[in-house]
Amino acid sequence: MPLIGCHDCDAVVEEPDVPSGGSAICLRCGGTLFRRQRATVEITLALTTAAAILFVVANAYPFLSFEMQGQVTRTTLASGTVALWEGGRLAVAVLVFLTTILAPALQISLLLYVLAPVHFHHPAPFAVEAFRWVERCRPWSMMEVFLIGILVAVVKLSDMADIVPGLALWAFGLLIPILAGGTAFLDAEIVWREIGDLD
Amino acid sequence: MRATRPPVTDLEGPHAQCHVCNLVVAVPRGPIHGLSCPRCRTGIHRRKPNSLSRTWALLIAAAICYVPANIYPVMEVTTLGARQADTILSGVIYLAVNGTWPLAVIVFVASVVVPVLKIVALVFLATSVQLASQWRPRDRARLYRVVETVGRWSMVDIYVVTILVALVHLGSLASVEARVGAFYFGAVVVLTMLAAESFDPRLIWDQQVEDGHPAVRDVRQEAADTQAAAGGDDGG
Amino acid sequence: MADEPASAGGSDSSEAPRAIVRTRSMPSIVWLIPAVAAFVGLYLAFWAWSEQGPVITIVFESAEGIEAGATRVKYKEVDVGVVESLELSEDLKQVTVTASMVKELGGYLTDETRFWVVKAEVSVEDFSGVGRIFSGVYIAIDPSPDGKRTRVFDGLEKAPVVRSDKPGTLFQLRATEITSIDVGSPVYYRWIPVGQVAGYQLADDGGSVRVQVFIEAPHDERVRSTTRFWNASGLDAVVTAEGLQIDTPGIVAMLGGGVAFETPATVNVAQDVPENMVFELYPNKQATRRPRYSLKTRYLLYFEDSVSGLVPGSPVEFRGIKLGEVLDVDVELDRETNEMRIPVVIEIEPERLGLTEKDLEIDPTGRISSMVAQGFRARLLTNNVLTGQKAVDFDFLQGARSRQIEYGHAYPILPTATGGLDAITTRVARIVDRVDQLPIESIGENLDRVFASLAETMGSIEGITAAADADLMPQMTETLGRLEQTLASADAMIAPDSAMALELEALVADLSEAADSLRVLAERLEEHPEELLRGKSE
Repeated sequence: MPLIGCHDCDAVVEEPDVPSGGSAICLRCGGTLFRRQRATVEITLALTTAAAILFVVANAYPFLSFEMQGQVTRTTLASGTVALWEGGRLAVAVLVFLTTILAPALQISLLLYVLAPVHFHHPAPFAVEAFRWVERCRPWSMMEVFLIGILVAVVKLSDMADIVPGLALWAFGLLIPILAGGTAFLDAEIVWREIGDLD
Repeated sequence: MRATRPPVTDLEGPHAQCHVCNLVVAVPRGPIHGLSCPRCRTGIHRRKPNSLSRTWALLIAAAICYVPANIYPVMEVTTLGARQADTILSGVIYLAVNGTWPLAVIVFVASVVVPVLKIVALVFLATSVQLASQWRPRDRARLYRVVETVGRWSMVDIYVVTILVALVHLGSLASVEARVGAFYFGAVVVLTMLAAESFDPRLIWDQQVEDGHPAVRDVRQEAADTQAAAGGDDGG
Repeated sequence: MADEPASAGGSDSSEAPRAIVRTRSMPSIVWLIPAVAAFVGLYLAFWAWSEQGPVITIVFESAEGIEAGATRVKYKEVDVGVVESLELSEDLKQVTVTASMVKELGGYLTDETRFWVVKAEVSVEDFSGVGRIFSGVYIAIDPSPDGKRTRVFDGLEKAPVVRSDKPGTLFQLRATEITSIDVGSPVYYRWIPVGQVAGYQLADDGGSVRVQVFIEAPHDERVRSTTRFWNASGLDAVVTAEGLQIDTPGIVAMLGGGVAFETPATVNVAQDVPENMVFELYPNKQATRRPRYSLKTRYLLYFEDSVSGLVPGSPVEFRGIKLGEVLDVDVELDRETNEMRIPVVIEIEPERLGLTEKDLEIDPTGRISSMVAQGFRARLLTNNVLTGQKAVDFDFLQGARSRQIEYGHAYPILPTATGGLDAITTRVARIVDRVDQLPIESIGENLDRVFASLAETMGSIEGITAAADADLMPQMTETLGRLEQTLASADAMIAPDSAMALELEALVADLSEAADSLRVLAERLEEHPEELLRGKSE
């Protein structure tokens, strides 16, 4: 039986058999060892593909339009970054760009790059590096926080102007749970076993 | 050695876990250097290198940035020529006064409470490790997990400012600009996130003392199950 | 496996059989999600592509208030496009605006289509646009399907007044000044706005201002040949027999200026007028009752009489009808005869004499020449006995010596006549006629006597001139004195606002003329007493 280590407390245990949908908990510290989902790769791949399409839609179309006294402003997801950059707040602009556009984009695209070949049992070159980057991007992909921020801002503005949500906002709203579902479903261990250098 | 106690990959033992792909590998006893994971080729360390010192450095930097983040205004709203600068706190007050107090609570918690709690919690955790405290490791581990998860939500205020800046573009009638407070606030969020990332929670457990002996386990013949760094299979 | 029991940290610590992994041969149902997403995405992309309208560039002098990505292009308040980007031209003098328009405009982007920037200002044409002060700027379009298709345009700086969506006619107005009128000022007919001022320029000779007005259809048909335009800004206060009448235009006209017109009933029959017909722009409505004509000709007159009281602006009349005015009075030394002469430049409107523009075009001088041949002469007469103001009076004089118009100088020189014997005789005859016409019944006895003595005076003057009396001078002086007294007492006896007073005023004027002529005559006779017999040698 292979050994599994607990990330949080370093307990080493044998990998138990976990039925589909279950999870293994570390006895010592309570941290989740893993969730074993069998259909994981396929589901994750499907969800990530949907997420990719939604991400493109969310960025290509206006997601909020703001109308006041006849003046209309339409914004896309990137408008925030651009506006911050033009306003001189370069560091903040970079941070927002990273957390709302770059990290999610990398996460999605690299995940697709790794998972699709894995699904067909033919790992892609540099899959290891790619999958590492996926994990690196994860804490920095803050789209759901962005969504809450959008809502707060919209409520703040709603009594002085007309705010019309655009198509991209709905795509964005869907993208978040879909991508979250995909990444939660994913059993990284399976992927590593496919793409890793051990045979 | 209790059978019920799970073996650990510890500071001395024959196992170490790859922090990237979670593979447990057999390693020579004692401190290890220059070893890489057979599966994913990243470097293997028993603990995150320089965890405590890095965490302290980042925490101090975050604490330093926290002051200007709240003193300097994060955004400036210009309406018909009149400028009004808002700090995080004044923004919260505005929201509270102008009706939508649930939003005020959200922003207050996310932008004021959370960063402070993060810093305090990480300081506590780092101190507890530094002092080799035995206090409730499980709860401390839980605390760490909470800090790790919640940290990102402080970014809400920055995103609110971002949207306002992007949307309110009405020339002289109304316009919004992000100010330097936003930079410091973003710095606080980033630094605390990096601090949490650099803290190795396994350090909490390293100090556990059981039966008067340090809880460094000598792992037994499990060494036979896994081979050394070269080769190796998935056992079983 | 070691001798240690398998210790699992998991929820099941028993040796559960390994789960059998069933591999699916068909893709799982979860692929529906990306399939739907892909379908929707493609559909949107296709829709956006098919809705894509043309991208155009417009060159403006300045892009004040225009924002990339925000400023809209509007037609009749409807969004038809949006500005995508701005760029300074290389010579920094112009701004190139790139805008994407809606698909429906495709056929209307021709070289006749015009664009201009509508700024946040209170403009006269659209007073209801107060909201525009707070909204931003937008680019307006006047699309036209005629013309060559193009994607590059030159933007106008101001809104064009004549737009392709408004049929109408342009007319030209001539004004001396254009106080308070500006491009966009409304044109009213019976205080309904029916058009706008389209533009104005200084005339080539700098002597007047040309104003173009655009009258919308169908009101442009109301403009006929006898239409009069006047400047309708400000109040028109008129003192009429009923009292003070104030004619106020609307607030808009008062603030932004305006032009009004009407087509009064006149002697001439109104005819249709072509586009760009020139009309006079009167300074107010009152002035339209005293019509001005656009054609003016200038002449030179030489007087030997005293011109004191004749100033630039003094009227030039024909039998009491105003022909024009004096432009300049000067003094000149005639080098040949060593005499001082007084050249007077006058400007008259020949149309008042019944000469139309056509007549003058065909034969500019023929008619006047023939009139001169018939005795058309200019003379000085006192217009107002109180101020001493003089006027130039034209009339046909019987027995005048044959004269001609002299050319070759700055202006044609018309012959003049002094207040000579002929003049006096004619005048006296006129006065007597008028006296006859006065409703004497309503006048008191004193007046009767006044007029009787006047008639007597006239009679004695006749007697004096008939007889070469050496006592002419003192007698005439005495007569003059009596005349003046009579006038004064007559004036004092009649109420100033009665019709009588007006008649009397006219009478007084005439008498003053006569008195003046007499004075002049007396002076001449003093110098050249022989003229009494032989008549003036001219």
